[in-house]
Amino acid sequence: MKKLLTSISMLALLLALLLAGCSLDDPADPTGTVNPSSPADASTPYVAIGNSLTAGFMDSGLMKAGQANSYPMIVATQMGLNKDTFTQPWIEAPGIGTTNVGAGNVSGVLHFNGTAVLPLGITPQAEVPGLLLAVAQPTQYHNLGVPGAFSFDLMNAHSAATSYGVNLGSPNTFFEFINRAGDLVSLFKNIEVPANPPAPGYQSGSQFYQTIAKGPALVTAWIGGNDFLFGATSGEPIGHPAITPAATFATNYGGFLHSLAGGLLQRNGFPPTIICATLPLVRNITYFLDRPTFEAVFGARVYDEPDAEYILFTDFLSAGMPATLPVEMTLDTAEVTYLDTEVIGAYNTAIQTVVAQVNGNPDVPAHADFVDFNANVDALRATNPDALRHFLFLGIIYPDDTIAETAARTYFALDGVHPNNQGYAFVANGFLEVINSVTGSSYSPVPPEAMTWDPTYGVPIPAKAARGGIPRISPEVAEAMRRSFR
Amino acid sequence: MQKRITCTLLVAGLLILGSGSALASGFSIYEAGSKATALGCAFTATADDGSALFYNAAGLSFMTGSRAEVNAVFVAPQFKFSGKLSKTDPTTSTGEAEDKVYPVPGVYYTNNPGGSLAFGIGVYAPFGLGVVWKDGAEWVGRRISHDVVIETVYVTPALSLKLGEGFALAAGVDIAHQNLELKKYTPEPQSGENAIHTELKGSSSINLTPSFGLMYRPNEKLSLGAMYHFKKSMKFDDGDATLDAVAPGADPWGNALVGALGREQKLNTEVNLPDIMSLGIAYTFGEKFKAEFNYVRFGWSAFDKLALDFENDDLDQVIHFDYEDSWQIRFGFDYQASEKFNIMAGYVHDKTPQPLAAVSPLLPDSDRNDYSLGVLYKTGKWDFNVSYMVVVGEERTNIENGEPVRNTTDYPFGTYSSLANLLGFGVGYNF
Repeated sequence: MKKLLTSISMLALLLALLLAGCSLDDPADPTGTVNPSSPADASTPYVAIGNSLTAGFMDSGLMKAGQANSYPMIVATQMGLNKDTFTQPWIEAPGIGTTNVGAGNVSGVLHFNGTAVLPLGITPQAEVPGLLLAVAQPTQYHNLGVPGAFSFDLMNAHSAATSYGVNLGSPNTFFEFINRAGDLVSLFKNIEVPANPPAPGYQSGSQFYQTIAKGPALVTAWIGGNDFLFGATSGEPIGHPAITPAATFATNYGGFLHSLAGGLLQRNGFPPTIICATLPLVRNITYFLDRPTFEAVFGARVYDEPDAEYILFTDFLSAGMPATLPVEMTLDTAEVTYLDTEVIGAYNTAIQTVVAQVNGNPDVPAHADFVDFNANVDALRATNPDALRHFLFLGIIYPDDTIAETAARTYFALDGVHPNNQGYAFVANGFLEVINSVTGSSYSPVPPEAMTWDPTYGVPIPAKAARGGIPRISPEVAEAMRRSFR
Repeated sequence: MQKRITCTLLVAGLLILGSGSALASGFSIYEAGSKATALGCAFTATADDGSALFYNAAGLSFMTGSRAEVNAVFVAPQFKFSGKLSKTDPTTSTGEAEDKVYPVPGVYYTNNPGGSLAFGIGVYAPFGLGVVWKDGAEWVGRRISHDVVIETVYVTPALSLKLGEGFALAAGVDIAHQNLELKKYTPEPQSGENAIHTELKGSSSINLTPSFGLMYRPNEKLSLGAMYHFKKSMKFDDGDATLDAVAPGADPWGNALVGALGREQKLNTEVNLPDIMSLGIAYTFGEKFKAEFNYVRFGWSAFDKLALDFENDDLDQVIHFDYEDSWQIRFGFDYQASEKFNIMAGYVHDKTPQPLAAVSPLLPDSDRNDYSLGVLYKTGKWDFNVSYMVVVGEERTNIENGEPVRNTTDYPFGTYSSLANLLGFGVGYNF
């Protein structure tokens, strides 16, 4: 009986245990033991934002030869990155250019064949996707330079239809393949899905959102050239519709830079480093040849704008070097003053002001500074004035040069606005200097003279093409040079 | 009558064949019988009921007559999590698995006519997993899994040969089948909103491997046992992968992705199951108290990866697990309180095979300590038992030296805790 009672008691105890069961306490949150986020935790070290100057645009087009020497690629290389860790939207030869080669076709970059400047090739529109070598890349590109991007586009454009170019009758198709979410399949595999994205709004997929998604520790931003260059290269900038009013530029730029700083801080958990750059004044754009230098070579001319200060040199060549220069072929004193003070100068003031605000914002800590592009170029002019002269102009004043020797003198490509390989090294060095100053790093500069730019793109020069003389530029090519800025 | 009872018991047992949940380390379920569960599954040297088909088929040689047996161990696992999605995530998230009860079956028939040969067949579920996170669409680990179920059923027929007085050797065939189901979300890349829901579902082909048992009982008090089940590769051909856009009308990204990948497609994969070895020693102290110790080793290093081979090759991916071989020590205590009642208890220490980098929402495994109790009641040809076990998982934090072990944006880091309550019932009929 006693045994039975013992057994029943044990059974009762067991049943009581079963009914009660054991429950699980909530685990303590251990995340406070994790080291604070630092730049080393960033999902990528560096992203570049900008326009054609950032993309590696060269000779009126975007192609892998120029992209390989884009200033962001050079900066990334000096930071120890490579083509796999700093990605760009590589474009196969002959590239995507801006020359009008007829409906249904796309021009390649320009090249020099010994006597004339011509497209390197022409690609039927339907075959253009075949040029986009990196379109299958799984994630956003690190180089988010979009040729033709305006300040408005930074926050807003994710397609041709949403680009500022729509307002100018020229939707910017570069947005279609540079600003994309990334390869769908690989994103599906959970590659680089951001942990802490900004508020919904990704669908815009703009350069801003692409950058936040990428989550870099360092961003370089050089934007604004297109906000004035198309107007400036028209020769009649005052009141030109393609020139963004300075107040609008300041609003666009301020909104972008403050959002970028806040977005990256939220995304990464540590203050971002953002290095901007000011925009070139008229004197520092090779496309515009100053009158004394022009007349020293071509002699005095009649000007429809009597106080012309700069000549649109390639337009002059393509027009057959006329005796009288129309108003569209020159910038006079009022136009230069307008551009340098009310437009470019005001833009640069806005850039510096916003950078100072972002750098000193106690609520959203960030490290921000800017490259004084004009100071750098002015210093270059003092020691190497040929570096700022157009290849074709140098060909005229150095008739005994080989093409390679002439090419080595200049920092600018055939279009006269975009740097060539040497020039991009010069730009990269400007950024590297400020990056080192802000972050305490010691990335080495790249000697520009070590870079080689081949304006022939390796195409054999016809034997009959004599060196020297005045190079030929067709109206279409001249137009392509102007359109490089859109 | 006997046949009818046997059939009734077997049918009842088959009806409860269902999901399993990881109870021992990895996703093994070592509770093949309710009585064994009460003894901490330290049963290799005893193996005196139908579950011998799993614990040690050589035990069949020491049983008498025929026996039909049905076991159901009801498992109620609990998982909790506290942590972050990534180092740059400002928000601490918590998660909790849904309250679910998984029945683990054990249905056996044994026959020892008294000669040198004994026979048995068993149906049981030695591997299984069920982790369904509450609010799966919001769960911080949903990029990896919000609902995973693995069901594995073994059918093991075995023969045991008595080679001499007190010594028997057994051989069997483990006939296995497995079901696999995994659900997860893929968020839109920058808003973080769920865009795609993926469901992978598959059923393996039948796999056959041998198993062996050995038992030596030199006298009435001492028993030594050993068992070995071979490792398996469960092949899944023509599984189903279904991708659905979470908001078909509103989310172009999700729609585009589903369109690009294909909503429905076939999937092949292979799941490697570890070999299992157990060595046991049991001793009866006095007349009524018996203690057993088992050392169990799982060859979990076989479970190194899961290669998912989709119809659309672009989706192919490999999930690395890199498990390591692991061991358990098991203690069981059996006290005969009366002629009809036995009281049982057990303790288990179970080392996890899971490296810290593999701790994930799929299975947050850890070292475990199990405590068990049970009662056996015998009357005439019938016996009934009830068992209870609590499996207490140690907390597992996937942070080392102040850094997440897996610093990505899909595997959350933080602390996982786990616990499981098991309630088992067994009924046997001897004839």
